[in-house]
Amino acid sequence: MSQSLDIIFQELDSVQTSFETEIQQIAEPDALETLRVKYLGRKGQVAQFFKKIGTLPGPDRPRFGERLNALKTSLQSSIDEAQSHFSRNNGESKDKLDLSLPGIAPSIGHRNALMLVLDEIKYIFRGMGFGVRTGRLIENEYYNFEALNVPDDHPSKDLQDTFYLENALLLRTHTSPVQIHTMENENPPIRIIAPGRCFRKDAPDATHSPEFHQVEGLAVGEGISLSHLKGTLVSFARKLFGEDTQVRFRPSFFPFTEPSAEMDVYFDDRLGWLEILGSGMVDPNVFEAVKIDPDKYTGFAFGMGVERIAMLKYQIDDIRHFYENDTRFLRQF
Amino acid sequence: MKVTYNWLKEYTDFEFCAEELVHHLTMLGLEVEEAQAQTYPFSGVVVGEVLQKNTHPNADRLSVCTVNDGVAERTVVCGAPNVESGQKIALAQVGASLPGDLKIKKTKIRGVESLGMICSEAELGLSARADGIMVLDESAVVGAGLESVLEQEDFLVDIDVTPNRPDCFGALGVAREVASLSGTRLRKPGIDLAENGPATDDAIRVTIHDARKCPRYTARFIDNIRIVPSPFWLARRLEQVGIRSINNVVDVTNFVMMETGQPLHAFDYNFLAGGQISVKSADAGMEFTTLDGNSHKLTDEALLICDGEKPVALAGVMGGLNSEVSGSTTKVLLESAYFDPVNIRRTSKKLGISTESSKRFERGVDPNGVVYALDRAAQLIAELAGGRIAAGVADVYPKRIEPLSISLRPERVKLLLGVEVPPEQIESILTGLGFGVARDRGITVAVPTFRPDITREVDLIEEIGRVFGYDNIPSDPLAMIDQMATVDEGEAFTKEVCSTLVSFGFSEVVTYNLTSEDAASVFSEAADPVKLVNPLSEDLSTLRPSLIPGLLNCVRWNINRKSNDLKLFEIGVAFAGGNATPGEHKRLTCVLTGRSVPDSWQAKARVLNIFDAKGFTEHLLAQLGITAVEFVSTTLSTAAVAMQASAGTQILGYLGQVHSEVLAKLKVEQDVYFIDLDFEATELASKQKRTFKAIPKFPSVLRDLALLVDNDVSAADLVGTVKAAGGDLLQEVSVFDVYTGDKVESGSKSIALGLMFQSSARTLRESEIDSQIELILTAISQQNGARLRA
Repeated sequence: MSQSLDIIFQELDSVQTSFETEIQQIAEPDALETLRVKYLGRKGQVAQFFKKIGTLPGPDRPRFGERLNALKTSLQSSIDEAQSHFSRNNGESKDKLDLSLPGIAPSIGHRNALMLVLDEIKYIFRGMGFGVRTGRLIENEYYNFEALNVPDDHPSKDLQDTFYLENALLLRTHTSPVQIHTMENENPPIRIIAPGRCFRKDAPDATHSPEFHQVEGLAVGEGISLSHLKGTLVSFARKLFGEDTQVRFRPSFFPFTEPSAEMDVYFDDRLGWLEILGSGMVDPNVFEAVKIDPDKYTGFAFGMGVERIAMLKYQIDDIRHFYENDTRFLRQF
Repeated sequence: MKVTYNWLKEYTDFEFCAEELVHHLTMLGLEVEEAQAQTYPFSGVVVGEVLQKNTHPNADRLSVCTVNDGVAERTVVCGAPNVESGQKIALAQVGASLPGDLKIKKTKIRGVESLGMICSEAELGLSARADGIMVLDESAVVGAGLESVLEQEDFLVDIDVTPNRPDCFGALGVAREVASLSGTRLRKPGIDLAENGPATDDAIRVTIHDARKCPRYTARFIDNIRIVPSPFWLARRLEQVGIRSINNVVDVTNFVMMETGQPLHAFDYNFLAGGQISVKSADAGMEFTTLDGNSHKLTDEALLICDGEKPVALAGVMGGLNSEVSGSTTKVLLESAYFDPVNIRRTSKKLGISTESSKRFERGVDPNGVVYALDRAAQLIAELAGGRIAAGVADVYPKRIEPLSISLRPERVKLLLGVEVPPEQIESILTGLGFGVARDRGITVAVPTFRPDITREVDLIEEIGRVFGYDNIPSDPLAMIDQMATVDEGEAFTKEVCSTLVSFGFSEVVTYNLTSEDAASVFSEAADPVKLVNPLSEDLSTLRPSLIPGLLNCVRWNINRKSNDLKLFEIGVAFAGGNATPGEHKRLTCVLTGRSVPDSWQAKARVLNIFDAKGFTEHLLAQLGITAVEFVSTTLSTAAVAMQASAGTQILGYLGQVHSEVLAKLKVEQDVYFIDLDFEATELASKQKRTFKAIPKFPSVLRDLALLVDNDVSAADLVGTVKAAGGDLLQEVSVFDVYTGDKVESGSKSIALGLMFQSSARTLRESEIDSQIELILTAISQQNGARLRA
């Protein structure tokens, strides 16, 4: 070992000693930072030593480097330890803290109430083996009406007022066209739900919206009956609204199902029975349109309004809240 | 369709109370929209007897009556013309309350004290009749409450009849349903006509020129009638179900329609030229004035009822003003017909007239029930208007519509309903609903013509299920199928996108796809907007070419409500391709404006800028597994500053600062940044396989370089050079400071880079880092003109 290296090593030792003395005195984080800059900063003492590497004879350099790095690591870990000591145990100064001050808010976003309900619906049906299919918002009359057994001049068209585009295209009035596309493209057994945006020519008010969301469902297979429709939808209602939920089915009319049923859920004594969804056994005319043999296969279909369910679930009184996106509304979900 | 509990009771002897009736109707598929007890809207009204009637000393039109109220004789001043001594009347005593918050007090009328009021039906809220006092039957007991002589209190039920059930647009049809459920018999009112008039054929001659539009037309002729107000029971029944009482003849036609579902029309015979009825299509362009006084321009689709000279009714929709029954009518031609439902519907829709009549015809009345309704009305008119009914019915029915015959397989019933219904029960259900059932090897069902909705076996199965009761059908779980076939990854991806953005502080919004043409035109760039043919309003006339305008509307909405710090996102569809080839593109769009986090008492938050948009994009994409993203500056007409983000050759989308002109147009007065990604391209890019990279076992070495470069050198170029020159050991390069100002020479900026070196095989020596740094410094000096800052 050369003479100069020896001296430098002594200097390093004294740096370490003085550092250790000083760090004992440190009582607050700011002082620790000052100490860190003094020793480990870009122009700190350790950095000065690194500059000396060039002045040493070649053979000494590795040893010096090794020693200097060891010192650097040692100082750094002492500082780290002291730092964590401060953050763990700020006990000495806790008398000075006003702990009644509000916490610092993180920036956090919110899912949309409608989308949360939609996700929940999807989750429940997925558990019963239903896959998710989506379709286009722009449809034609065939998929939106004809294939679903809604004839041109039938009064049931009164039930839906439709937005039309040019060339006999229209904005779908329900997600039922997805049924037709699915049955055209897939073979039974089929078990799908089709969530999505729909359009009807209703001026916006507390209960109407020209755009809204629907979840359509379809199960086609051998031996599927109204009892399976009931079993599936009762399970759904109980998962969504609670295990004790009372559910009833009553006959209704939809062109695309026969027999048809509406499902009501008993809410409370004030609201009584509320309609949740429409459903029924797939009408043989619909099977004919998609070339599925109605003697071999049967199936059921259902459709529900997501806004309505979200409004019931969260007791929202005006459908327009969903589309205004007021942050005071968004924040609540 | 409104019916009342008491009314239904006239047709069948069911035992349910009103609440049970509502429940049963609902469970039969006749959804009750509203059910309401019909209580009488008065109190303190008793049966009185007028003992004496004198003219008021100070007013000729008033009478001073002495009325016995069962307790005492009272003086009551009355203004009605029809009050006579000896009448039993409705006396509102002092203290009585009448509709309209009217309290009867002791009062003086033109100097004579009056202790009560003799009431009209209108004053009692029983009907609209206000032309005289209500005269009660002689048998009414003086002093008894008026309620005791009126029909007992009733229960109104408003049924939302589904479009497939025309039969339930008459009280008899509803009663049939109730009877089928309760196992009671349906009692149709019997017909007992005195055809004491002249021969019908001498009075009227009916011709049908278009048997497709009018398969059957029947009529009767009644003369010697006297038009007077309807009796109380009739007026009251019509008022209960929402129809205004007009006179005895018109009220009968309306009543029979509400009873049977068959609309009827009474013409004043004196206005029918030649006693002729001819049913034919209108000439295109001709005008016709309906009895509401409105004139309509017709197309040749419309069907008219004409007399020998002129049209007298718009068939199935409304009668004409020219042949309306009036107070002076003495002879009527009563029409009961079956019109083609489709034609009536088209006419009603085209002319914008929907009447009680058209509503029934367009759903389909019973072609074989028209004569029953005609006879029923004729009989009632004879009873209430004293007419003579001509002998015989004019009935033109070129091609009889026969009941349909359908065969029914009991096993199919079980397959669809999921429950075995015994054949006997099937038979009794169908019979109760009016179907004919023949059982030998199978079941053959004759469908009555009042049920045009039943055409197939499956329709019969619904009938069986309905009456059997959906409640009695079990709930069974579906058998399991291969569920993997239905898994779709898109859902998981969407969830990842949402949860990442929410963790960044973005809230999910839902906006309309429809926007104004104006807003759309700003954002459609080269693409042609997709427009609606029949928009609800100009504001919602065009399909959005971008999600940004909708999001900016949310920004404006919230800023107007003092919420200025916003991070919003929406996943939705944007439209392009114009009306010729409209296409849908799924987008993920974010807007951000205001401060990055809420201000706190510790620190004031900084205002968001374009690097926030870039950072959110980078980190969102990284979270989705897309790390090699390239951002290049680009130009968008809607953006003040814009970047294009791409992964490899795939363009993922754009981000930037919304142009101030766009903000001005949408009335947003604060800088807004946007991220607008192609959802499907992003999803595709995220499908690249992720493989685990080992976590290094050896320490890393950090080096900082403070560099001076010319202002036009980009950070990305500098970092690129450093990376290229840094060798395998250089793992990360970060920009941790950028400075321009008086501490550096003008035209230059200082960029500070943090370099991280690491080896997966060993601990690095300082010397190898030093030499690598030398190489880096040389490279950036040569390629970027960078030098170490002194």
